[in-house]
Amino acid sequence: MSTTALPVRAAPLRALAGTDHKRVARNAGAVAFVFFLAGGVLALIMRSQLAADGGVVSQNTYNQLFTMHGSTMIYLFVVPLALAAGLYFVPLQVGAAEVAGPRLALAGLWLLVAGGVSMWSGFLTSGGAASASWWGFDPLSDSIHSPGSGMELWIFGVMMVTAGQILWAGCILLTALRRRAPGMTLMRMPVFTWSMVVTCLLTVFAFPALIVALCLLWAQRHFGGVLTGGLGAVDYQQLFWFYGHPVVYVMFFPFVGMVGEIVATFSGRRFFGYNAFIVALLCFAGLSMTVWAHHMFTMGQATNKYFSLTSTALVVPAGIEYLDLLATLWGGRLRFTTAFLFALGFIVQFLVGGLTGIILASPPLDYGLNMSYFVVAHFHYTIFAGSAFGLFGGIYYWFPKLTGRMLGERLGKAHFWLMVIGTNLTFFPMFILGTDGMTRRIASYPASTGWQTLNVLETVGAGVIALSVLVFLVNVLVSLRSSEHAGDDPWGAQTLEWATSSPPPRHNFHTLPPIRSYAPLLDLRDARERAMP
Amino acid sequence: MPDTLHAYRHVSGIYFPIAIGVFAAVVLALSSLLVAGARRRERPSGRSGAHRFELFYVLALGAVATFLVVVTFRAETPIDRTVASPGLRIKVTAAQWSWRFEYPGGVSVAAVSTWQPPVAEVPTGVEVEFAGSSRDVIHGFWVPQLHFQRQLLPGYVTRFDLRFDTAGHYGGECSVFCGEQHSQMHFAIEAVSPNAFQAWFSRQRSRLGGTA
Amino acid sequence: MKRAGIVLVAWGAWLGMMTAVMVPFASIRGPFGLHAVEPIMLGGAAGACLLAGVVLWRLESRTAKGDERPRVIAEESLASGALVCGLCLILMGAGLTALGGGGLVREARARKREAEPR
Repeated sequence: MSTTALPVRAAPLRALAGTDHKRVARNAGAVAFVFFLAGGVLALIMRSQLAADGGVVSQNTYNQLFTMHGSTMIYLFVVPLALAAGLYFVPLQVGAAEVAGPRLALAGLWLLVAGGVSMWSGFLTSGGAASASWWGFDPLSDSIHSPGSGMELWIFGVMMVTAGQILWAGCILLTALRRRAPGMTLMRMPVFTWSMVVTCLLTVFAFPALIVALCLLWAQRHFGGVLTGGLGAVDYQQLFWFYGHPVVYVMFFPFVGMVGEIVATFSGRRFFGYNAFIVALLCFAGLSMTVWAHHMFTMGQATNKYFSLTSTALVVPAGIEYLDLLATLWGGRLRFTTAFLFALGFIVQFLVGGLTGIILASPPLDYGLNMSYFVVAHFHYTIFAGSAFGLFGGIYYWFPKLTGRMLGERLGKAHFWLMVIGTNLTFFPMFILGTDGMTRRIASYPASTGWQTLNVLETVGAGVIALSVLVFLVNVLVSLRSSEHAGDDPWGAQTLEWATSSPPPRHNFHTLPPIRSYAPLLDLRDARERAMP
Repeated sequence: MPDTLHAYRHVSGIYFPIAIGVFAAVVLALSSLLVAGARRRERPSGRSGAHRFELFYVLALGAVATFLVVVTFRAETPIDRTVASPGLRIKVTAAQWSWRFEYPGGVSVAAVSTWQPPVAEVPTGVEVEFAGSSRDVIHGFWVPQLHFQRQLLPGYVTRFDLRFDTAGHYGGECSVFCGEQHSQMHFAIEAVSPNAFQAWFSRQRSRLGGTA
Repeated sequence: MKRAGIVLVAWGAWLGMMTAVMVPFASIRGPFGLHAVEPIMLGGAAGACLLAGVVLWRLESRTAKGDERPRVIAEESLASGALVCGLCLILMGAGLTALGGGGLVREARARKREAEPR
């Protein structure tokens, strides 16, 4: 382990303007996590409103709350954190010394901060923050129906962060394609790296549609005549959803990749069905570019049958991925660490979201369930009960590599179980409320509906989730103070990031082990065991 | 015959059991793998792939997907269409934040006040064609009990048929977020026998004639 | 697989295939039929990806892997942050200028209207 003594005066400069991909990714992850906490506070206020059946905040405020909750969680938390994980680990996993285009990656961090601050400044304006939902759909978001600077700040902010995300994706993609170490062929890249490759493909080729949609929206707000006529509103949604569906897969693929790594490591064997998994990832990502108008089934303005066909076809690659994840447990000797528990939570809970997604992919069913709490439950199961669990798995798994310290297992398991209970208590009843006719995005509901009991239950669940996050934060603070050093490879893992110090030196590796498969460290251990008399 | 209620029941009767069955199967498989893996003392071992099995599995998944798509397409085609001669044509206009229903002959139903959503009468047993549009932003015309909704767009007329086989009170909501009072944008449809509907309709027309 | 451009070419081709699957749906009449924007967007993404793949492939055939010199990179780049801030300010400035210019045009038109004899 070598250290480079940095002149003290350079340290604050490095914090803001350092080009080390690990520093940029760590800072981006921290910024995104702060936004997660902020978005979570908004959710707690929303949940108090719904449990009390109105009366906590005004309707206008409630509309700002859910707009900023969704916008924060998607534009400022999950997507940036997913890409930041790739920014940190893809260069390490492919044996590169640095990410491709480090200054572009740094620019992406500045864009994230600028965009997030812009969006949240809406709360300081007289009209309040944007309140036209995270979609900002026309005509609700035009200057007549959403006057005021909150909406302007939102449009500007979303454009900034999206531009930054496209830059990050370009850097990570080029790193995986062009900066691999000798011996690291494409079909030896780890499962997580491949999941990041498809994530970046989606970001680069679908996210620009959002920027176009927002430019048109801005022009409509200030000059008119852009999104008018009977179907101008439809054009905005076609563009928005061309981005809006791939973005939810950008919020899925990195976490299924993390879960793949975690399952293989704590099963003690190599990942099952690697070739099929990679092909499935590529097909899955490609298909996810073709399903977008299933969000528009009830408009009656899109080719419902085509989008229903492609959306249902998603079961094929998804099924392969699930088979490979489960089969990696077959024949393994399992270690039930906190990271492993979170990975299991992802596998079970994401499935609920995925299956309900197939249900919604059928227009006759979607006509009855769209815009209801059934949909709210569906996407919270995929993004929170699924991806966020995968994320926490990744955090427990990779925390030692980032910081050189282990996260506490006792507090970790408390965090896990509280989060499981809270998540299911909050989101499962929403399926029932949705089939009973509760619309989404409402600040109150008539008492005669009888929905209050389940809403109160959901709010209790949200409180339990908040408690679990608190436990996690305590765990982080306590663990960072620990004097025990984790070492290079505390888990006995398989991929290259564990072949260097914790945290890695400035240029990642002093030496590289031989790379013969997608699990080089496992190969090394097997070879050593065979060599022993 | 376009019937949203039965289309939903038929399709959900296939999709939901399959979804629950798949979930149960995966949880079962996972649990047995976890138990076996937790007990294992020897070195981990196992194949790294099974190409023939995976190919067969892909074909099986494809067959399931095809089946689901066929069920969906068959159920969807009739409910996307509107019949040539419906029993009744009603024009629906949505505006922030209420509804207006316009019948033939100048009869119309609108909200009396914010607390009293408009109630539109319809006859049972016939297709009622709704021609819906919005005066401002996009709204959603949703009748949960018939498992059907359509978005109403400004500057465009969306047509759809609904059939109320059972007499009774059908609640309606605005399903698409439309601004400040979106939560209050309710309506209701009262389905009555064709005779009762005729009586109601004549009363409304004569009332119109009296005030003209 | 020596050339990584193959990943982009393959993915672009897959997107192209899914665009082709849209074609039979053009026979559906009415609002549930094919809308031009749908194949344009998907086909556009497919084409862009294919093009990027071909460009990368050509680039890779020119530079052999072996003769890569050590790369020199900046350790800090305050300039990148300044550039981002500057671009944001330019965008805001351009927007304001457009609004101001449009407003001046509106004022001129209003003046003309008032000056005309009724």
